Amino acid sequence: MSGKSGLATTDYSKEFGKWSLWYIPIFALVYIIMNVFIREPELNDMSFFAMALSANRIYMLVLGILAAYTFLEWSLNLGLTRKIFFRAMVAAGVIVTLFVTVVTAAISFVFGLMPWFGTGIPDVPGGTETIVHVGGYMLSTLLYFLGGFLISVGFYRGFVPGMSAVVLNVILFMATDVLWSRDEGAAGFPAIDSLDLMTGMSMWAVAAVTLAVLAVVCAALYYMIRNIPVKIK
Amino acid sequence: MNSVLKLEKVSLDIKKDNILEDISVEMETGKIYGLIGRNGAGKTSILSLVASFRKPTKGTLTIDGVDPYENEKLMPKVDFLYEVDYSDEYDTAGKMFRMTKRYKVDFDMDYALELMEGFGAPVDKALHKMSKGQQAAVNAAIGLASGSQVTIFDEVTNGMDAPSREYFYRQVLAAKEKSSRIFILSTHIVSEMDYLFDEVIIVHHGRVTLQEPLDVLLERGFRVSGPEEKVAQFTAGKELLSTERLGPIRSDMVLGRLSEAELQEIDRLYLDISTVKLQDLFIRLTEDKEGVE
Repeated sequence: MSGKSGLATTDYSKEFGKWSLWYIPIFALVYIIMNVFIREPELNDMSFFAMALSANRIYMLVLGILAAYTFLEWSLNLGLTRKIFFRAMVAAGVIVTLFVTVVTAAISFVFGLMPWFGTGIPDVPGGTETIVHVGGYMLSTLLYFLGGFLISVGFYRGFVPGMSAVVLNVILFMATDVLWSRDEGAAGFPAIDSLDLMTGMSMWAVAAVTLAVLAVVCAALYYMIRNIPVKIK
Repeated sequence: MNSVLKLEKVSLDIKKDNILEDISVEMETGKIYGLIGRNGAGKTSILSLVASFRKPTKGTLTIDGVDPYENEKLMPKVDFLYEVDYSDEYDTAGKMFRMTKRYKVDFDMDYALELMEGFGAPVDKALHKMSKGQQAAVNAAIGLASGSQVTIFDEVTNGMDAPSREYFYRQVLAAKEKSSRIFILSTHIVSEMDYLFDEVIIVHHGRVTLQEPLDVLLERGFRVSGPEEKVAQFTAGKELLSTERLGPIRSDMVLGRLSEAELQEIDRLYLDISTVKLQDLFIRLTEDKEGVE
């Protein structure tokens, strides 16, 4: 990664990080309020991490949607190329996905030490499969970010590319959700249930397919960004 | 180092619209170029191409023979400053300067702060809280302090009050003396800026209708004044830009160059002659009627 790419990755990540530091506490507050006021065993047993799984994906989708409108013109004004913008934004997506997941998990751990909150997490096997499982969740979250980024870039180019990106994303999100789905939803929440494997496919294979989908989205993104005209507001 | 910015037979289409057609322009360091044209003439489109905000549909754009589009080394050497809506910008000018410095090593932070002081604009106030003039000052300061090889100001003085505009003009001249750069000032209000320009580029309906040194351009017309009948006799059959009268005195602005014989006739008729203003020429040259080249 060149010096400029590194700088841009740092700056995008810092900005997203700042937004995340608003999102996570607000979501934690919602979790606390729900646990205090709603007496529902299923909800009360659920950990903060489990509840945040699908919310984090939607949050990352929103960040992706904001990406082009917030940073493209700014980046070119600072002399960055579209290629650097693309690389740095994808890298920032990875960093922020990790950041949000780790912070959510850390908060969940702290909540779990208190008697008022649940500790229920998705029922997953141990060992390397657990790593793949958590990795799969993160890959899926990253896909939402890149999907949002694709929508952003699409609409930046025009209505038709934007809508095409929306349709492509709906297909990709559904496909990966099916791949990571479980036969029986133990937790009863789609986001958690979706962490499990589709019957008949190994977790490694599903992870590989998800990585391939991410690569396809990255390729589509670069194709759309490499000659994107920057509009002056 | 002397640099040359060259646009050769450049065209730009946006969707089905032909925005620019067959543009050829050449600029070199150490000069201030005035890019003038009426609203919608295509000035900002040309500048967007120079800044790599867009890619030409046809033709080539080069800096020292190299296409700057997506060129990691050249893109930071082009600065494009334009009127920006800062109503959602919570950063301060100081933070923007620091950010610019991170990416553009030649950015002179001390000079930027000095400029802000000269404009009377605060460095530590969020941009959305600043007046339009102060926001324009931030853009002007970034452009002047960037030290970029090619610095473009597109209507950057919009919103500035008269003293700030005057300060900006003085600083552009000072920056030109200080370092060898290409300055492009784009405006449709030429009356204040004309003395800054070394060369003038007029854009009209997506085409560059002329590129000339200012002094040569101003020789395209002249003003002749004197008694009504004598002025009318001299300018009869000539292309008049305007006629003004004050009592028995008439002053005609004429498009065209004076021949030796015409100069002698002016002497014989005891008429006064002076140069025309760029603004008057610009208005005439961008009027939508045939026969003006």
